Amino acid sequence: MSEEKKQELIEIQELVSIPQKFSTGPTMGRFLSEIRDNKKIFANRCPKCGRTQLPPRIICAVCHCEVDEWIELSTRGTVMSYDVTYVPTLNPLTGKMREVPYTTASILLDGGDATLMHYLDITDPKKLKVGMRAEAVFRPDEERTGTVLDIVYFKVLTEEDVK
Amino acid sequence: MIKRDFSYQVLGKLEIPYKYYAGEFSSKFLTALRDDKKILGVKCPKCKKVFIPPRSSCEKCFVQIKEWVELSPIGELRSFCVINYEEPYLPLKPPFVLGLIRLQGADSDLVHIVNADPSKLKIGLKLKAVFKEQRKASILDITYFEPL
Repeated sequence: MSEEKKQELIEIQELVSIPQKFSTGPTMGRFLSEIRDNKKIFANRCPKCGRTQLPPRIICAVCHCEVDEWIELSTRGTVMSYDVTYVPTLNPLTGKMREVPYTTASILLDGGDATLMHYLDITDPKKLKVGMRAEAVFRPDEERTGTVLDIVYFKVLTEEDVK
Repeated sequence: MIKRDFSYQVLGKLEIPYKYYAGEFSSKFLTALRDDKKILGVKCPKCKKVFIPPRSSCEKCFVQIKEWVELSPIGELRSFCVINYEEPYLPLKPPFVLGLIRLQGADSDLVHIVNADPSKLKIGLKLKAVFKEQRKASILDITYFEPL
């Protein structure tokens, strides 16, 4: 008898797509609005312990008291740590894979003591160093929509830029 | 002090592509739906219960199942739920009905869409599978079940 016919195996490609709305609340709302409207980065400062919170939160994470003092930080800062990612992962906001390599860094903005996580424009590990200076690059004026991606990335500054 | 309220809403989404691999067993079930408009179940060699959707081992006897049986496209409504709220990820516009359907010859129930007026639904209602014209080896090759 002839060999049994090879069985067809079924695979089904599906897409989960769920639209969502995130409410910023008053504190994140101000943080994002200042970026969108004025290209400024604001943090808030705890009245008790004096910590800078970035992104700001309505309550101090340490003292649990309400925080209502706002301070403007520089859009420039110092790279405190970084990671270069080579493994593509899925971005659930787009349903697509992230382009690799990309660099994420923890940046201490001038004027406060809290770091902000964001992308860096340099992905070559040989050119990356803790202590480098970087500056926020904003989306053009008509294109900012009030999301975290209104800052596209942080551009690493050369010594000439810093002068 | 005048406090401006900065709150607003940001639109986002959760979008995840994935692949479902049916495996040897369920592939046979799905290709039979697509190619022959047949609904297949499996029969446990020990307890003789017929399962749908098919499974390769019996949940009670823990024995391997190899015997396939063809089930009738006609069945009985065992339970149902009327979906009245709208969510973008649901397969149909509400209101629609999901039912537990016991096909003739089966000992387990199949969940599927029931195309019937919710006010006329009753447990025990006789239903028949309606197949799609364009079938692609998915459980939705059965469009829905409708009353006989």
